Parts: sequence; C-alpha cells; structure tokens
Amino acid sequence: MENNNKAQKHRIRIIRENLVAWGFLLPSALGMLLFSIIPMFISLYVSLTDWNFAAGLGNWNFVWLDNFKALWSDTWFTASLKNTLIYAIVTVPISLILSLLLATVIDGFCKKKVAGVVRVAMYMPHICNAVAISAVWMALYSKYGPFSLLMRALGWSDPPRFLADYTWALPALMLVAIWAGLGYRIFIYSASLTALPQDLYESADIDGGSWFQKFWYITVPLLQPTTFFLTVTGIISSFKVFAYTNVMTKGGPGNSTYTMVYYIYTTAFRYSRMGYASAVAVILFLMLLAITIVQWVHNSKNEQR
Amino acid sequence: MKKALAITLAAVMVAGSLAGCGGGGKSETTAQTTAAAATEAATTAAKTEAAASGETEAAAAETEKEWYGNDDGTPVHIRLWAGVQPEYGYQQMMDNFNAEFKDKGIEAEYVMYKNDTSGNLQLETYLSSGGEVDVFVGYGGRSNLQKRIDAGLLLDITDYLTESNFDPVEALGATAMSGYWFGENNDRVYGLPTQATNKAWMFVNVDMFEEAGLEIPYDGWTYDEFLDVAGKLTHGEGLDKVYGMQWTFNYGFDNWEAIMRAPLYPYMTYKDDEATEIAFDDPIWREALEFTKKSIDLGYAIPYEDEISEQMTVQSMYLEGKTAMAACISQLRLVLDDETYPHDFKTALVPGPVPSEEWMDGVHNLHETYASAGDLLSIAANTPYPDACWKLVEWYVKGGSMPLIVYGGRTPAYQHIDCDEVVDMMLELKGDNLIDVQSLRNYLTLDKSKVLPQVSGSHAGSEISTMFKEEVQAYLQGQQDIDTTIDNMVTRGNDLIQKDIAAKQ
Repeated sequence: MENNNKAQKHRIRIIRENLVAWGFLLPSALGMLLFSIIPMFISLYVSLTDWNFAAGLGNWNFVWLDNFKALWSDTWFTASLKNTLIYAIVTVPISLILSLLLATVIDGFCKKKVAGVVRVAMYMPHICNAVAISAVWMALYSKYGPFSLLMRALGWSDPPRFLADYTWALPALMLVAIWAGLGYRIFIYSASLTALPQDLYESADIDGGSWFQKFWYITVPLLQPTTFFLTVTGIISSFKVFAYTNVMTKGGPGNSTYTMVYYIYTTAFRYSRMGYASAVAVILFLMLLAITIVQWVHNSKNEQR
Repeated sequence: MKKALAITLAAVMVAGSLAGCGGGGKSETTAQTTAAAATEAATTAAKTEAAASGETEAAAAETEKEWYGNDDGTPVHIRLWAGVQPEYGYQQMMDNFNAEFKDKGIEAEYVMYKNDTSGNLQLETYLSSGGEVDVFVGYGGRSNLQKRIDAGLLLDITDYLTESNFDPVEALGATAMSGYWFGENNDRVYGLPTQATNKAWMFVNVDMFEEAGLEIPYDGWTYDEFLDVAGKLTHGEGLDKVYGMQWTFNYGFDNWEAIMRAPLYPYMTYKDDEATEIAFDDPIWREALEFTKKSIDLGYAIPYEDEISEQMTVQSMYLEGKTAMAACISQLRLVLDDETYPHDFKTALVPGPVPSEEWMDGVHNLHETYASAGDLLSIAANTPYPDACWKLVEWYVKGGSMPLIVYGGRTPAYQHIDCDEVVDMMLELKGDNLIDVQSLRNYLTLDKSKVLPQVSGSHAGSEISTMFKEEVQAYLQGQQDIDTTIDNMVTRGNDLIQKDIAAKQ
C-alpha cells in the first residue's frame, strides 16, 4: 500500500517535471512547428501542384509529379544543380585543407597571445554580413581592382572581368566563400588541436619525427571527427549558397552562377511559380537529407565503438 | 485590363483586315495607325457614355467652389505621399499649391515614403487604418493599383472627373490612360497616370559634340550615322578612355531594348496578339543585335561585361564625362542636378538611332510606342476631405506638377503642359548651362495622343525576358554567334511558351 503510494507520488513528480520542461520548450517548439515543420509539409504538398503565386492561396490544381518531370528538361534547373554540386565539391575540400594547415601553423608557431589575435582576425568574416562581404569583393574583382592589376603586372594584357566572365564567375564566387568560411573552420580546428593528447607528440619527438610526419600521422588522424563534422556542415552550407550569387552576379553571366537556392528564389518570387519552385526545394531537401543520414549513420557507428 | 486589351486587340484585328495583311514595315505602320484611330474611337465612345450622365451636374458645378475648409473657417489639412525626395520638386509643388489654395481652405503637406516592399506595406497599412494619407502617388503599374482597388483602399474618382469636365484621355493621352480603366464596363478611374517617359530617347553631351565639330541629331539618326558619330567621340586609352556610348546595360535592358525594338512595335517580342510565338527572328532584331555588337567591338560603346562588373551608372560614367552619350532618359533628374552631381557640360535629349532612313519618322518621335505611364495619383478611400483631395489631384495633373520636371526630371503625362513655362522655370533655376532647351522642348511636346495595343506576354513573360537577356549577353560577350543567338532565343522562347500553355491546361 505504502509502496504503491510512493510509486504514485513518484510518477506525479515525473509528470510535473515533464510538464515544466515542456512548458519551457513550448515557445521554441511552437516556433519550430509554425515556421519550419508546417511550411515544410505545405511546400511538399505545393510541389505537387501548379500553384501560381499571383493566383492567390488555394488556387491550385494537383499535377502529381509533373513538376519533377519538367525539371530535367529545364536548363536553368540542370545548370543550377550542376553549379551547386561543383561549388560543394570544390569549396569544401579546399577550405578544409587550408583551414587545417592554417590552424596547425597558428597552433604550432604563434605565441599564445598572438595566436588568439590571429584567430579572431580570421574569424571576422564569419560574423560579417554576406552583403557587406560581397560589396568588398566586388571592388576587389573590379577591372581596376588589385587582382586585375596584379595580373596585368604579370604580363596578362587583358585580364577577365571576373564576375561577368563565363569561365571565371563561379570560381570567383567560390573564392569568396572559401575566404569567408576559413575563420570559422580554423576556430573549430584550433579548439580540437588544443585538446589533442600531447604524449603522442612527445614520443614522436623522441623518435625524431619531422613536423610533417607528426602532422600527417598524428594530427590528421586524430582530427578525423572534427574533419567529418566540418565536411558535413560545409556541404550543407554550400548547398544552401544564395547571398553571394544574388548580390554579386544574379546568376549570371548566362546561367553560369545559378545555384539551387537562387533558382528557387527566382522561380518563386520573380516568376511566381510556387509549385515548381517547391519542387526544386524538395530536390534540395532530399540532397540535404541524404547528407544528414550519412552523418547519422557515421555518428551512431562511432558511438557503438 | 483584359477587357481593355480585348477591345484594343479587336480594333487592331478589324483594322488589320481592312488594311490587308501588310508584310513590310511601312504598310504595317499604316495598319497600326488605323488601328490606333479605331481604338481611340472605341475608348472615346466608352468615355462619352460616362461623361453624358454627369454633364448636367457638371454644368451646375461650373461655378467654381470657393471654400474647401471646415465650416468654422479653419482650413483642412491633407497629406500627399510620394516616393521621391521633397527637394526633387515635390516641396516646391506643395508650396505653390498652398499659396494658391490658402484662401480656399486647403493646406497640403508632402510626406515621402520609400517605394520598396516595406515602404509600400507601410503605405497600405496607413491607407487601411486611415488618417495619415489623403492623396498618394502609387508605383508598380496596373497590378499594384488593382490590388489596392480590390482591397477597397482607393476612392473611385470617376464622378469627380465628370463633375469637373475632366477628360483624362484628352488630358493625358489615350496611350497613358490605356492601362488604367477599371470596373465592369471599363469606365471607372481610381488612379491617374501623371508621368510618361519615352525611354527610346537618350542623352548626348553637347560640349563634346561641339568640340568634335558634330551636329546634334535633334530629329533622329540611323545606325550608320550613330556609329560614325560615336566613333568620332571616342578617344583615349585605359582609365582615361572616353567612350562614345553607354547603353546602360547595368540598369537592365529597359533603355537599350526600348531603342532597339521600337521599329517592330507592337510585335517586338511576339508575332501574334495572343503572345504565343516569339518574334526574335525578325530581321530587325538581327540588325539591332549586330549594330550593338559592332558599337562595342569597335570600342565606341562600353562593353557589356564592363558595365555589369563595374556596376556603371549614369553618375559614374556619363556625368563624369567618361562617355559622350548615354541611353537612360529615366535618370534625367541627375543631369539637372549639378549640386549633388557636379558637372559642367550641357546635355541634349535626342531620339535613339533607328535601322535606316525609312524609320526616321514616327518611331522614336512619338510616344505611341510606350504605353507605360506611371506615377499613379490616387485618393485614399477613407479620407475625410475627398473634395479637397480631388482639388489637389486636378491641380497636380493639370500642370501643377511642373516643378517635378524642372527639379526632378520627371516627364509629366499631361499633354497640354505649358512648355514655355517649364523652360522659363528651368532657365531661371539653372540657366541654360545644363540642358539644351530646344531638345527639352522637343521631348516635352512629343505626341502622346495615339494609342496602340501593347502585346504583353501572358505566357511565361518574365522567364522569356530572363532568357532574352542571357542570350543577348552571350552574344555581346562573344560566347556565341548571331545565328546561334537567334536560334536559341526562338527555340527557348517558344519552348517556354508551349510549356506554360501546356501547364495551364
């Protein structure tokens, strides 16, 4: 009897605690539900319709998978898909390698106070507004900017107009993204570096290992979880790239810098074709989902180990 | 809109069949002129009907009302909202109005709002809550106006028009009014277009012309004459280079396209009235594209990629004397403002070049090819002083807006604008150092009386303009030759139209 009572009291207490917890969670859960989860399902639904934004809410016909079929013969979509993939494949590895090297150099060769200053300086672009960054880089890429002047000084008679050139525009945007993301990655790497066990390096020193050997056989393997995390977040953020394209090139010249999010934006808000834009958004969602699943599987394997 | 379009289209078809299916440019022009006359007749017929009902009251109201203020003798206070800085003419205009209506009990105040998404939202919020806006200048053309009518924010001013014997077609031109009739019978007015810019006109630097010993082409010129002149105006290298021409591609295609497509009007984008077949394979387009590329390849015009990558503007190029000519008449305000943008040369306004002699008359010298009039003047539905507001609107449209052209370079749509007075005001304000008075007179007195139907894309219109821009850019930057460009434009354009038609079924 007494036992029963105790168990009941215990249960009530747990329920009450849960209620309090849910109470605190409610505001953000509600926000998440209203602004992320419900819209996600709506856009899934809209992607199966021919909804035109100008026709008003609810004025749509169900077209099943027509939007998804039409995508593949649409040069703007195929170009945006291709550009997005190239963008991710190029920017992610380059920025990882660069940031790892720089983090190791800062960690190994800078004094503690200097290292802090350098890291903060490198981190700055990460907290800058993408539009401001774009404005600065547009000046740098100008016909009279430092890059063109440097190329001219090196004997290039007519350097390209980077942002208006069919071959250079996408690489130019990638360079900006790599630069802007570097500080954040260095920060993460630096944090992991300081947490690495020093005894391995000490024994390597005793064995006479060179700087490169220590870097390659100790640092790189030990940083593998960090690298994995940065790869996944890097791919996700490069799939979502929009601001640089929108401000610096507007997808041009031609469709050479169209990215998926930029295409979603133009289709939805310039052409008012919400159904079609949602279909592109669903494709992007599936791509992000695939990456996220890879991460989940990887993480759960790690936990089992 | 649909109805107005239907009426005009029907008129054109009738006229077209009367004149026979003219193939060449000239005979088509006759067909179009007949069409214009027919349409005008149709529009006027619709309007007289509206006018007839109000005629008796109009006669009664002939004696001007003297007092618009409150009964206790205090004046009413109304606010005019517009999206332009007060110093570009609106403040001057308000001062003039207040001086004139001081004894009639109206006090008007100018409020500037920002013509962007949030600014328009703010305007609409105030319009629906009431008390802050009485009269306002709206932007965004018919679609924005329609949205506000549907929301019940605007006062139907048709009765005021009839009461004061104000015929908007006669006053503003059928072209300007063509898009702005509403209601079941297409005879209601909710906003009057007050500004009509002919984008096929351009700026030329008179001083540079004189230095090079060239004559100002007041009456227009051909592509060949233009290239010849542009070549003579081009000189220097590198940072010191002075170009002959700035096509202003950085502002989008508006200005360049307005000049190039005018000979084809109204079939410049589509071959048919239903907008189902692309017209970019017309020889006129080929000629226009080749001419533009030639102007760039010869080094006379600023290359497309430079304009885009350097974000070149009228301020940064034309007003700095880095180009002798620029196609950007909508920025007339900058040319007249030598305080903010110091420059010490005179500008003349001239029509853009045409393919050959046969196009010289009536392509750029008329307003008929530009149906888009803007700056829509409307009265808020919930204003407590509709009579006073109407007085302001009428005064504004009938010449009150003259400070706007003098201080702000906004071309009034009003057909009977007192050109001498504008010129006098301008001379008094700026002297004749900034603008060539004769050319300004030419520009202000363009015939705006005719109306031509505008075939606009109901099938994937925005996609087609994006496609057009991409292909033209690729051609101008040397990525593809002229044949590929035209082929691509036709195939891609028709493909977009067909896809859209299929989707709509």
